Amino acid sequence: MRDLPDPDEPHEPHDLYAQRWRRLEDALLRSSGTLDAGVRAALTTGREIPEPLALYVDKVTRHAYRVTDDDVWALLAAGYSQDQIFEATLSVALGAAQRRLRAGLEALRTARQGSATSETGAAQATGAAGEDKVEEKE
Amino acid sequence: MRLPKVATGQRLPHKALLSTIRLLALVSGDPTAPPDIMRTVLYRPELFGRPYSDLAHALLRGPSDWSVGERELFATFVSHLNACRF
Repeated sequence: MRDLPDPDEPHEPHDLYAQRWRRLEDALLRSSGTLDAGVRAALTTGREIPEPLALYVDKVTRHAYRVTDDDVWALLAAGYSQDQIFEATLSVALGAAQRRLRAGLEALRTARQGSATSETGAAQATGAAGEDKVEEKE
Repeated sequence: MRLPKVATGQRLPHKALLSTIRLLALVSGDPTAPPDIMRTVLYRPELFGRPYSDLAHALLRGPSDWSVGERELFATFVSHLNACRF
């Protein structure tokens, strides 16, 4: 089994991803859109969501496959344009993706710390066994 | 695809591209093509499709300790957990 990669190791591919992620965020959240940039930013955090969007945001965040035609029609009926729904959906998805990525990297950090601790533990155990042998000789 | 504007495309080159794919799909017997992800990426590409494709390409095909096959497998697994076919 290969070693767990270090999520904090600053090597080229990671920088490549970070740079592209930022460009995606800029395009989606900070470009001029049909939905106010403040609303798009709120949608990525999942907090302070304007009411007609709340149910839709929750569905897209937790289980996007449960979204139905009715959900989209409800937003159209509430006065949101197709472009606004398009922007809202992608903003919510970006936020959900970011939280999952963070959780994954955090799990990786914890796992690496765990394996580092168990290696030290194993070394100590070996050391202790070695000492026992020395005592036996004496 | 639930948003008609995204389904048919907004700009002429994209409409033409989607229609062509639809026609080819009909001929080849796959009425579901083009996939919705393609429609999403082609709709207002400066907002999402272009930077998203750029990121996805770096992740799946760029330099990495993981092979292309391994990365595709990760993506497939995650999509499966999300009940997504892509």
